Amino acid sequence: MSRMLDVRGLHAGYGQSEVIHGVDFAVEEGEVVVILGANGAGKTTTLRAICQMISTTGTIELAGQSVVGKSTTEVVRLGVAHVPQGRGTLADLSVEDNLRVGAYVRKDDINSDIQKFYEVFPRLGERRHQLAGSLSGGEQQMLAVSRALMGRPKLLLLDEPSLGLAPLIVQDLFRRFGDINRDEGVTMLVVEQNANLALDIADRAYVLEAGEIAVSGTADELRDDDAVRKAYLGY
Amino acid sequence: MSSTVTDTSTGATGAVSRALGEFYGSLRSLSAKNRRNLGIMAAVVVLFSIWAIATEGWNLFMQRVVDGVDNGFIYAAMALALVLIYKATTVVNFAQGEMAMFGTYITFVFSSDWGLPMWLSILMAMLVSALAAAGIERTLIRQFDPSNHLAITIVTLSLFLILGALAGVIWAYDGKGLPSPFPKRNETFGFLGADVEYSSVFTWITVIVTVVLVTLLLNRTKIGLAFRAVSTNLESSRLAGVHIGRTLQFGWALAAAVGTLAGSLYAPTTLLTPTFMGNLLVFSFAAATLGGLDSLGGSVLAGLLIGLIQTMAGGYVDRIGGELATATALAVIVIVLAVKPSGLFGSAKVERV
Amino acid sequence: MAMVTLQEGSPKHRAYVIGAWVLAAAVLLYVPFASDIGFAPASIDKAFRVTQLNDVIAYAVAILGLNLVIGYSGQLSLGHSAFVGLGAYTTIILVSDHGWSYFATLPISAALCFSVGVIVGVPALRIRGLYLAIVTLSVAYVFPTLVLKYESLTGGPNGKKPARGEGKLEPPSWAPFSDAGRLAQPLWTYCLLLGVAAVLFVLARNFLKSRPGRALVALRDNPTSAAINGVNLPLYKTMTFGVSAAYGGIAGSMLMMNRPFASDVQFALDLAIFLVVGLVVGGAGTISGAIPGSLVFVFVPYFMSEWTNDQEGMPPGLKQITSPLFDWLETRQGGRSIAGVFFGIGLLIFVFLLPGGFIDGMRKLRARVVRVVPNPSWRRDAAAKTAAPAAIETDAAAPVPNPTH
Repeated sequence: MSRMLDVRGLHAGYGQSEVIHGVDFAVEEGEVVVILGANGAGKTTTLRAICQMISTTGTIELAGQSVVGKSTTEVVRLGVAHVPQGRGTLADLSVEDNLRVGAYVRKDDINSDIQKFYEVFPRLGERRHQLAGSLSGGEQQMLAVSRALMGRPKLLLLDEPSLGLAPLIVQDLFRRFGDINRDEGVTMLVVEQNANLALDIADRAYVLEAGEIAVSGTADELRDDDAVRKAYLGY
Repeated sequence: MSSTVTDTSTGATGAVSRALGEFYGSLRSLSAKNRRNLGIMAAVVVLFSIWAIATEGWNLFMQRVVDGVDNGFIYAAMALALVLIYKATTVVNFAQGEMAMFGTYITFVFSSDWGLPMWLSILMAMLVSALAAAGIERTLIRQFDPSNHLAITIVTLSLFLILGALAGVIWAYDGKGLPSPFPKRNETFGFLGADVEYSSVFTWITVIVTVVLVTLLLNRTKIGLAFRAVSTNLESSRLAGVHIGRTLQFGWALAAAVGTLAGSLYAPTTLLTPTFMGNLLVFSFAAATLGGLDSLGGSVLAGLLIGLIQTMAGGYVDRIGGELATATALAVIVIVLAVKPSGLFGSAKVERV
Repeated sequence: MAMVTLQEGSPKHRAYVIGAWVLAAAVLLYVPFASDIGFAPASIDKAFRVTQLNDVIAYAVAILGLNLVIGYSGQLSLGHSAFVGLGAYTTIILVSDHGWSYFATLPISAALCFSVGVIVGVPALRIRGLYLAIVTLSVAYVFPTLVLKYESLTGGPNGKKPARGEGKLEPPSWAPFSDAGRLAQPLWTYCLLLGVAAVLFVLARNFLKSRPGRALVALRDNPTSAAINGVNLPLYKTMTFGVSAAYGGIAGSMLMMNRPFASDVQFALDLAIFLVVGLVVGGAGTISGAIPGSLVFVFVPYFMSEWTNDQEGMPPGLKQITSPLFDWLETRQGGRSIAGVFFGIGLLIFVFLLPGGFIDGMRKLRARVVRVVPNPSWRRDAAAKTAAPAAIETDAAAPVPNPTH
């Protein structure tokens, strides 16, 4: 396995206030890595830093290539897809147009991929001409993930995919994330508060506390860690 | 729905039939959404028409309808430019009218100084305007983050001042006459009791074709898709790898070209001066708003509606007369907006919190 | 880093604040009463210059009012020219046709414009952003046509002014400048307008610090969450519109106190747009921004057109180079409007240097010299003062009693 994402000594924040104070982590190719943490721990900021949406210092390497200082568009074109918190739906566009925007960076034929996602998520196929803004929260999340995958990314960043969704829908969604990782070989970095579900599909996990990595290990190790269990798993 | 249109037809006729199908489709989906509103509007129009025909006769009524439609199509053309630029910047572009005015002067230069035929002058002026607007976007607008509304507003205000004054310096303030680009100038034909100028009909056709072409451009091309994506969610578009700057530049260029077209169609009906867009801009702005700002077909219908209200109010209501026709038209718009804040054809936004 | 650090509430900080106010007062007094005004080209009649300063004061009030709607409640209003015009016509009609005194007309202007503002604000309840812009634009557009329509009342295209020799603001005999000849009247007007403006500025400041004021900012930053948190959206929006219009109306009356003449072209759409220019130059969402904004509004176009006439003050070497341009412009029919081009270019340069407006730029400059740190015990209070959106939102959200009260 080669290293997909390598982050060393990452500092990032908004304006004067720094949120991430020197974080190191890595994601290997084909892995699902989860970053756990409470509200305000800096999880979203970490993802935003990877996409260069905020000013960062430190090293971020994507498949050996440094991304610090590049524009967001360039980072995306290097193969990173980011599903932002709140799903970032293009509400005034149809479902199909949303998928087409996802494939914006590609030059080849995308119709077969669109068909594929209609098969994976039949709900999207049924609603292909509907405006994305009229979909339910779960459908919008499916759409957001499909849109991100339409660009055939090497690395998929998911920011709290469970936010605002009913537990049953979240379970279904995470099962599909596992499928996509296995079938498509897409590397994933998932930020979550719902530790139980996230650890089920994850290979490894990090716990972020106040802008620093507090604990790291394989998913199983973290599940067995007493402190983590009490703080994030609730038993 | 676009799926009902066959994509297999090829060639020019295929393109036109697809375009018409798309335009018709958008109108049909509008009426489905807004059946009740259209119904109320139709009832008001029918009642008014009966009263109008009964009081002053059929011919005068038809003449006023034709005049109203005439104005309405020009409003619609400019409204189209406004909708495009609003989607590209999400701020009010104070310079939109001045840009169209300047573009119309460029048409004037091509046609009267260079002696080119009018239609060619207009096309070339549209091209020049598009390039100039792309340059303006690149040098002045792109320096600021799209969310910095204050800075972008100041830039558009500066452009408003500069272009207005510069036109005065170059072309002075006396009115210039611009010929109509269409054949059979000043000739009319009778239609159901009204005199219709041939050039008016050509203007209507031009506006309709433009709306259809712009609709196709936005719905069928990759840059059009990017433009719609950026105007609905900037951040997500950026995360999809869309070049935000280039896409907005496209919006500016397209809006400037359409604005120049609108100005060049409007100028022959009046005199070209550095302030000649003033009236047109107010009504086009109204049409764009009334049309709901996100629907091109809607702004055409709204433009026609405003043109009709204006001529009808001025013609039939004694107390209003010429001076207050404008005020009446605007009052109607305000009332409509108060009742239906997202315009007649705009989609109501649901805000998720 | 800042050179000086002051703790809020310390004697040094108090001295700094008082010093700033004394300096401001000194400038306000120096300008009209000094024997010659530093920045004025010598050829200019001082009475005329003071009259211009009076315009500055009046337009500052108008811009302040506009800022309540645009800067603080975040709605684009393009109809302010109509309110200024309505106030101006109210005053001029009452003074010249009914023999009122100017001061007696101020409350009438304010009340009338407040009512009209509330009426215009009612559609604003349901309409946001561009939709509101069109409603207010319509008001601005229609106002001059109404002036022309009701000629018997407004004088129509000829304008309206008091009969010769009437409607003047004569200074009382105790004023030190009562025998200053032609200067006496402008100087007296200056004092009166300054007094009115000072009251209005203090009122605006207190209003924005009050509960409704903070609710307003919450409304701008996130209308939905403000409404959910119990901010009475319709009430505040309409009230803001009304108050803003009343400020515009008073500004119109003040203009008439200075130059008692009103005409339709004075209050057309251009005025509304130029007021927006003044507003954004000063800085949206600042009270003091109205003053630099108004200075720019009155003086920059004026000096620009003066300067394009004679290029006074330009180094001779440079003048050699530019004179062909200006000579050529002389020959053009519309050559004088080059001043507008320069104004626009100046505005462009301005936005690239100070993208947040004048006051924002000054604050950044000041921050390099003086840093004011909040007194730890005052923390909550200070948070409300610096108008940080987050702080305000929480304040407006929960009706927590202010700890200092």
